[in-house]
Amino acid sequence: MVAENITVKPRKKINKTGKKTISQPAATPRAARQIRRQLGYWLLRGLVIFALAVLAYLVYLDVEIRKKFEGQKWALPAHVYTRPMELFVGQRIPVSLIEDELRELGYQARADVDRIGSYTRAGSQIQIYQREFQFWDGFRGAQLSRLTLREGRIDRIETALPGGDYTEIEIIRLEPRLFGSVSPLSHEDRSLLRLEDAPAQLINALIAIEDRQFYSHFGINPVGIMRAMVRNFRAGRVVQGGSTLTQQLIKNYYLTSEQTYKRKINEMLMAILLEIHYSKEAILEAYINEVYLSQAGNRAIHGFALASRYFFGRPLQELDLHQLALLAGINNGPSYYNPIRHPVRALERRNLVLQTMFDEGYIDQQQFERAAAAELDISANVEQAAPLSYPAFMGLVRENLRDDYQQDDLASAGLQIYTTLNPRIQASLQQAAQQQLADIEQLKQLPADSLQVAAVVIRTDNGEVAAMLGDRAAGFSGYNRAMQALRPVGSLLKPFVYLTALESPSQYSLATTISDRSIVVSQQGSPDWAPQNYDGEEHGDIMLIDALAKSYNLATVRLGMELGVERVADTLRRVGYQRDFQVLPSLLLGAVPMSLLDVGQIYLSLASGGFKTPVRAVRSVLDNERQPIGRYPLTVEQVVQPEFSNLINYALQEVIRNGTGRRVLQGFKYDYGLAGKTGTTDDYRDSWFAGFSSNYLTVVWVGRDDNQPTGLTGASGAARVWSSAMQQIPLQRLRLAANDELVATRVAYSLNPDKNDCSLERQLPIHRASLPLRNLRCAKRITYDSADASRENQSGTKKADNNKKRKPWWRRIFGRKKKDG
Amino acid sequence: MLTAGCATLVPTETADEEPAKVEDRVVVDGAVLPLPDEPEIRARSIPGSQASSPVVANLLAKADGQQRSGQLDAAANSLERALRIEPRNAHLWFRLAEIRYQQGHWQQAAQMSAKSNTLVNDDHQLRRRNWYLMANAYNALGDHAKANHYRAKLQ
Repeated sequence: MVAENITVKPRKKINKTGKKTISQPAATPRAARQIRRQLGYWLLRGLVIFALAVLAYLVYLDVEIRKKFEGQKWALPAHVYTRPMELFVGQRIPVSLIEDELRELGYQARADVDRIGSYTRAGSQIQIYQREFQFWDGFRGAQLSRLTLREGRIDRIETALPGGDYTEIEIIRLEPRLFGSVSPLSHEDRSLLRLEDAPAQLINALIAIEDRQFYSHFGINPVGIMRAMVRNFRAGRVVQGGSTLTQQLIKNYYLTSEQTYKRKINEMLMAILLEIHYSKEAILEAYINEVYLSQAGNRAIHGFALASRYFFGRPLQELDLHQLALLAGINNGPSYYNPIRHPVRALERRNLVLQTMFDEGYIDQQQFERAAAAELDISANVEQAAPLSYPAFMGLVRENLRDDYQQDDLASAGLQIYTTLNPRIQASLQQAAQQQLADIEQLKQLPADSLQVAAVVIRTDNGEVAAMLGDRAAGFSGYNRAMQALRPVGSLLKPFVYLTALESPSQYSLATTISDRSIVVSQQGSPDWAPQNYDGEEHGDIMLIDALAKSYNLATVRLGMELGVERVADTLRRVGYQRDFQVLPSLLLGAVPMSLLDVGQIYLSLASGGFKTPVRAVRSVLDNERQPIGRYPLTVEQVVQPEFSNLINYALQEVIRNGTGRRVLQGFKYDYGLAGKTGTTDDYRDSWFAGFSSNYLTVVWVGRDDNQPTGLTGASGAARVWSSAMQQIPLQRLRLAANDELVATRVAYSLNPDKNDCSLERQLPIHRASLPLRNLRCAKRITYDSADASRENQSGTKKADNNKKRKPWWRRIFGRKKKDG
Repeated sequence: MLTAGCATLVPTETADEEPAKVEDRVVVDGAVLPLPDEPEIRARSIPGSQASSPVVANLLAKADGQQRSGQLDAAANSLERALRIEPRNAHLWFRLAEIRYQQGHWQQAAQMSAKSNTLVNDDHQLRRRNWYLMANAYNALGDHAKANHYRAKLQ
């Protein structure tokens, strides 16, 4: 309102006096007087209209700039953090993993932990000067932590307050890393920096290089403009803009490359108006938060706080003088002085800032010389800033939050979102996917970069998504195949057919013989359906567990038709599949479209021992003031009784021990009791693998965006990515919990159905209600080698398997055992 | 409850968790793959007591304190933190069930107890405490059939 008083009132006065002047009679002939009067009248009207127009325009500008200033001030995107790394006594963890995390957090390896944000590593000891952090459950101040490792485990943890004594403790956390923001419309990112938290040398540098009269001018600086014009004229090019910080701030509000007089004048007027309304401090605070400083992918980096994280991987408060000077320097031309693309230019510019600071007396000779001699010091992470932004995972974060928060709040309320993302596992997943896809393309002579991938790693006990990939190029933020692509899942569906059967223990056990012979299914309104096995053969009577392990289609369809498709569909819904789908017999072989996350959800119910847990990416949310406002608690719902989840998981372990998933064992040094299932769809369009250890469930899809055949089975495509990723993740062995309902039972079988000598036996977990086992005598058991060989031929691999020439493994291990041994 | 000072750190195979003795080992190139070392060290279990590693003991103590001062969400948070470290610790699931019960989340209380009981092995006392909690939770939910089912198990 102040502005109107100043600008509006004087003009009204002028108008009034003007009217009086004109209305005074003058001593001239009547006609001339008439004309002059007329003229004066029109002139006056013109003046009044012009004045009103100017006035209206000023009011418009005034409203506009204030709206912008007030609005932008609070338009803080939600900030998204990784999970905090927990370090605790007894934990098995490679030191390199801790160091990777520290580096990504921007901690500097130094000779001594003499400042916040640094660490030292000496032998098996790591010392960290940890930053303060507001966790969901409380504030943790800066502290010194000392970790001692022994034989690959954390043996001892001690912490101390700065200057205090060390005391022993069982667990510490590293702070989570800020990796993204929710600002969907503008793709602009900022994080709020209060003026009092900004390093004084940054402000000094800005004022020295950009606007020395900042504290004394009224928005524009006529002397500065003149000086700039002279300097530019002398230099023959534009070396100085002459714009005040206030003008630059306004320029930033309307970021366009347009350079017109109209714009320049508007800028000046708005600068003056802004200075009338707001204090120098408020303007400066807006400035340091608002200025555009770089571009990271499609994300515009605004403000010095974020730029510091982007370029140096550390908070602004931890930067050295030369780094602050660099930020102040690139401010003048973010793309021209980009220190990554134009390091020489950026260095010159930085030293010019330092020189000016020295000339202005902000720093002394020694400070100047030391800073000017320093390297650019850009963080190694900055190159991979795009890959470190995890776009696929961000998609899930958005979806998780969509139900609880307004889009506007997400984009502007400055929420702090703490997620479940584990950057170490994400890095393993990305690395595995890139490496394996390239290898597969080479091995199968597919065009380079023709394959695409989606993958997710979920914690089995709580549904937390540790890592997610929606594209082969990890930083690519376009089509998210993990969430948006719906594909048929093929044999991934089979475990739910077999689970349905095993849940009727009086009828079915893992040892029940089922028939793998051709079947024709009549469906109302569509042609008869005659499914085929992948190897095109029939396998006769086989044990239920082997039918699943070998992924036989005929046996599965026969079993499913016996059970009823509707019952299988019910199982699917019970374990967490939520989309509408057609209940047709083809469902039994996976003709149901699912996203990768849908698969993750239903397999999670198996991996968790029969408990359904929502797959989630968010742990908790804090508001702008870092007060906790929401937590996403762990919830579970028992959907499969433990004895049946044990049976199906045992069968899924058999898939990997002796079935179609055996390929994934290549490279594993230990037996993690892995359970999983391959999936291949018609004409090899989709290659799937879903599988789990005790602690992590990973689902991988490999295929092409144009849905063309790739020639890959689940085993030769997705399973390779799965195996490579899982070998890099700290796994816990899957052990099926003891269950009173299950009994270890010896079952006799023959390898050769013609001989049928029942010379071999195996032990299987059998439900009490299935006992005594009937009609089981010597069910045929297909050998791994022959089945695998036919599969290999099918998928076009010619590589010989070492195993083939040897005796079957069970001969070597159990071969001497006799039935009644 | 064990404290950090007196716990002996020995990786222990918890034999009682092994399933029925069946052919369940992976064989590659004719050799049985060795079992992995446990990722976490457990304190050697003392018969009849709920063994917890020092870190879980620490988080449990924290949760106890938070529960006593009425910060139930914070207590649940601490227990979830402990569960990320030892997801198969039946006692932690039971403690989470207790917190949920105290918060009036009957459904979740019963489910957490059910989860606890799938991991409980031969700790019969804990199994009974879960049944007791489930009986009460289903009672509060008005599901008297289920409440009676678990009450009957207590007899």
